[in-house]
Amino acid sequence: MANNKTDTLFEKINFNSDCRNVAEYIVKKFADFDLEKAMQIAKYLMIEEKYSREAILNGEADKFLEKRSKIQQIVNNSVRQENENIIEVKLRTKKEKISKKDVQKLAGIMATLILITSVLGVTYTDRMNEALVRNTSQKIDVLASEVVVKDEIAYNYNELTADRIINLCIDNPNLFDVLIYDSYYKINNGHRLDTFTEIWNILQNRLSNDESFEPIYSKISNKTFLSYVLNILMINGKIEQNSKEYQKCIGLISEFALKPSYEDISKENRVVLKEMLQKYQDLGLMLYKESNKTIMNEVNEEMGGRK
Amino acid sequence: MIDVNVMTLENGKDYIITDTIINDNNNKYLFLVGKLDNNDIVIRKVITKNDGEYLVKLDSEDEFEEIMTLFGDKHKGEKNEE
Repeated sequence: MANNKTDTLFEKINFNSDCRNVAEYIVKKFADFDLEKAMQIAKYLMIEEKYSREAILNGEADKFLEKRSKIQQIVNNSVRQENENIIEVKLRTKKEKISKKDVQKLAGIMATLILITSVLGVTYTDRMNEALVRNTSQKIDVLASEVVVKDEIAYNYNELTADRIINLCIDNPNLFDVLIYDSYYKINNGHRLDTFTEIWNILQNRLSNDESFEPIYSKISNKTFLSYVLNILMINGKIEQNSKEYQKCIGLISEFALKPSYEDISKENRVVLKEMLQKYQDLGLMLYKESNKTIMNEVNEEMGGRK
Repeated sequence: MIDVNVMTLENGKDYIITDTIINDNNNKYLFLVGKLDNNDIVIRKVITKNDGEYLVKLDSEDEFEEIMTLFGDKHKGEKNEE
């Protein structure tokens, strides 16, 4: 079982979850940001500036965020939006007299503006991606192209169709873990159930005759795959939300995410897995197709060699 | 009392021209501060037509970044430490 992969996945999940918490805090406190921008800033603060989630939520990065908010106000006032018409205003100036006090105020504003240019780099996607690639590749082992795709999944989630998500995964097999996490996150928040039901259907249809799925399977750990399939079962209502079985599944997924191999899973959860495999044939089928050495094999051994 | 140049933007508000930046492509940009609300800061690009000069919004955040970077460079050394 791929221990490192699991640790990395777990780290990714925590990191993404922390980023979302921070982004929600930023949006709530500073109205100038939308969630997409706030996510960029959250990642920047946590990776580049080494802030912890708790530190940011305790207001320790507020000074930085105030500067960044000021920059965002100027961006919003100065940059034409995508669908905004070009408005030309004739340059007609008039001379006016202002007091020395007002001049001092203006000088103060310019000084502030000079000062806040120090946080400029946080505004821009390219720079952010460079920073993310540079740091994230060390920290959570992702590739440059994946950062871009992850952003698409994270930021444009509501725009993504099931086909697009599947194709993103085919092009970037390593992303499947992230996608699974996102699906889990969205499920728990009651979003996009339709899309993931659709993904499940596409997966089922292509499973046996689409070679483009090979790279995906080769990259997914058994535990991740199991989590995904269980999640899908929950989405499809095969496991009713908040039922006793649902709670068992959550416990099983959580333990699988933490433990390095099947052998480390508690006896109680092995029983749950066995029950699931017996009850939901889809689950067994999916796991069995994944590789020759699967959880299914391990479970079979556990169950006395029965297929 | 000191003379300043004031102009009215498309939103009907008066702004004081506080700085001018020219980039490598010879485009001119104005830094404007709201006459009544000094926290209202905007940047506009100057475009020249036959009948005079006009102000327009910037096309992208990249352009904004470029101009703010030039602004920072122009005022290097004036930066106050916090």
